[in-house]
Amino acid sequence: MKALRLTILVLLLAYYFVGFGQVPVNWNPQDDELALTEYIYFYEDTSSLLQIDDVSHADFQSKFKHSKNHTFNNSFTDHTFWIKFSLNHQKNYPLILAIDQAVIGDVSFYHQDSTGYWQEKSHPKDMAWYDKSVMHHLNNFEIPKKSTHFLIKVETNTLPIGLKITNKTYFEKNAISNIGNFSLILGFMLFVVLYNLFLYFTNRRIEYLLYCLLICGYLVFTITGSGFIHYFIPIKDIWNWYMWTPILLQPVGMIYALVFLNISKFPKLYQVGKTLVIYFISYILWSQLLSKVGVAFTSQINALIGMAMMMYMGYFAGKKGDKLGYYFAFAYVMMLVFGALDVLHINTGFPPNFFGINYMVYGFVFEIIILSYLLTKRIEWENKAIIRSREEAQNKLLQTTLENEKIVKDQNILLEERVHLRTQDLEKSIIDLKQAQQQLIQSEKMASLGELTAGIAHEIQNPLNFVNNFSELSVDLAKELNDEITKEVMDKNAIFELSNNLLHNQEKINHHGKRASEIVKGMLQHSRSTSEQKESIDINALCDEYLRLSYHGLRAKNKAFNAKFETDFDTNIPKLQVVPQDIGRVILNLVNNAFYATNERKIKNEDGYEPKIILITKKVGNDVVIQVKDNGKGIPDHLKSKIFQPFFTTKPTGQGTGLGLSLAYDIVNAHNGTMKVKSHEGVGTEFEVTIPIIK
Amino acid sequence: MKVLVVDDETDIRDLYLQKFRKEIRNNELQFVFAHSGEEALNVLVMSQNHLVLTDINMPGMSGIDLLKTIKSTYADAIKVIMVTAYGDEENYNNAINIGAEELIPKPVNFDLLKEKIKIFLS
Repeated sequence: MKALRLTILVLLLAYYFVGFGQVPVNWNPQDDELALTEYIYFYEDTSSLLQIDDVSHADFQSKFKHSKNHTFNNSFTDHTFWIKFSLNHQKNYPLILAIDQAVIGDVSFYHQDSTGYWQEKSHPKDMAWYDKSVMHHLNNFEIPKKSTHFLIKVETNTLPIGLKITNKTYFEKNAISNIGNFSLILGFMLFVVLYNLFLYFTNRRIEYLLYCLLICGYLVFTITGSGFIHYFIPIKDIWNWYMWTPILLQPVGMIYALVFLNISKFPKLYQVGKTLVIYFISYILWSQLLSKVGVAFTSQINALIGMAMMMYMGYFAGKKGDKLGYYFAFAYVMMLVFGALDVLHINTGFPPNFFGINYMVYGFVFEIIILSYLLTKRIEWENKAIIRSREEAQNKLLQTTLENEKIVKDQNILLEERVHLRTQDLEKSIIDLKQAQQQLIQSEKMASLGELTAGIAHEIQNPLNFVNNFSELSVDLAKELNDEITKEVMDKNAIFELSNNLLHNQEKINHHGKRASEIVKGMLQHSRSTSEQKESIDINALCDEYLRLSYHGLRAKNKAFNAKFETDFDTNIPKLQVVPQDIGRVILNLVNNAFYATNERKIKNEDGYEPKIILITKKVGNDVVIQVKDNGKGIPDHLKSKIFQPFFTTKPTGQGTGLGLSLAYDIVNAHNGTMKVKSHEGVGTEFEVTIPIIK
Repeated sequence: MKVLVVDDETDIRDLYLQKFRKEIRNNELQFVFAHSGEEALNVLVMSQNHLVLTDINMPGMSGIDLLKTIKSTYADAIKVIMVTAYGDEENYNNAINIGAEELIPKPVNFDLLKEKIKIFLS
């Protein structure tokens, strides 16, 4: 190995001094191909004016630089490059110099013949593939058997150039298989285009048309980038095709992504997408202002932006629940991966191409497969989604209906509860009111009872007096009777008289005892609040009783009070079915009022005024009429409408409850009766109660 | 001697007649009865009476009114004794001031009444 290295070194130095300054590359006959780029020297001709004579001159050689890279990558420039290399090869089989770049300008290949003269083979950029020195879509030159030193002049158009020396047989075999492989891919792409065109015409959905355009773009880009386009159409300047395709393709791709992923659902992202579309469209115009280098650079940046954006949009849509989005993003991730592999391959030769096809093309293929799959699946998924959303809507509707029903039910329950509570409240209120009413009635009763107390006392006192007096008298009579009996000669007449008197007295005692008892009973009945039992009563007796009670009550209360009273009772009135204490209360109230009215007038000391009330009962048809007439002060007209109202009173505070007439009115009503009043101020008042006789 | 008893209670008559039956039998006393003040005044006009025993509390003309009328008409010619359940101070003073001889509370103590009448008789 050391010896070999030493030999190479020596040879290198020897060649350098010979004049070409180049260590020849050794061709190993066992190899099929040899990457040349790490052995070449190059010179960048910024003026593009140098000729072979200029660069082959011995003095010029020192201007060449050694390229150590796998690819001859001259970065962003459109200058003319001169490349030189030397090759040691056994000249018994043909070798081919392959310039592995389609997007390239004029190419000239020079070899120094045995005379030291530089022979030229030139491939102008618009040369048809079949006119080339080696019939191929790329530029390949047969390496003359006798030459060692070679020069290549290329207009690079910024793209890296692969330089290879291959065995001619191997080259031809590869070329054919390459065409086959490529045709397969192109056929596939074409199929996708046609298929989607068909789908577009079937579905009339713009995304299919956009997708067709996109794939067409990929197709054009693929055949341009690979140089296959030469087989289809004569190309004047492949660079224009190569640059214009992505420039036109990018807005289409972006619009396609926006439509396909339905990005309009996400306003912010949609806005960014739209802005990018506008930017890409505007780039179509302003790219014309840029130099070739500028366009190449900007297009690469744009491509990166576009791809990143599409990836993000896919991811975003996926995250928002559209599973198409993730596939979409994945397609562009793969595109990026293949793009990266392509760049890696161009720069390092590793990993090697499969079937001589660029990784980028695989990226396209991969993307096309995924997107085609998505487009086909999309309909299915969309239908599913429609069905699902319809089901969801139905479920939601059902749920809403159920919820509404529940709400209505709950509301009903709530309402019922409220109604129940309110009813309870109302019932309680009614009970409270009734109780209050009962209390008021009771207090009115008790008040009137209070007024009566003195009268009652008098009424009871009188019979009790009789009882006492008659019983005392009876004791005396009994003693006399005893005396008479014990006499030797009994005076029978005297005894008879005494016993008669005694009998009479007992009857009187009995009578007055009963009378007192009746009064007490009446009083109790009057004060009793609950008994509403109708009884058969003598209305005249009832009137008389209460008239007396009233009179004596008022007399007891007010010594100065006095009034005449008359009764005119109709003895033909049958017994009435009434609640005695209630009707008694009515009579008492009317009589009390009558006495009060007369007393009020009496107080004014009118000359010749004699207070008087008349209590009349009479039978009129099937009714009993009770009239209470007084010659009192009368009721002023403006108060007549109010006298039956509860709590209305003209008496001084504390003297009347204002409930008397109101209660009387209610009682008469309860007996299906009527109550009328006639009054003239200063003349008197007449109350008339009519109660039907019920048999 | 003639005594007029004024009371709206009719049974009072039985009491007097029985209680004073000996005096009546012996003609020491003679009783006349009236049931109201108005009736009493009529009786007094018709016959001469020496003593009036009147209830105070009566419908129409009260005992006090009757007393006033008797005193204003007959002055001391007719003595009046008030008999009442309302034997209170006010009524007592009122009656005495007007000219009543006595005020006897109900129930009437007839023994006491007899004593009083005897005093008047003498």
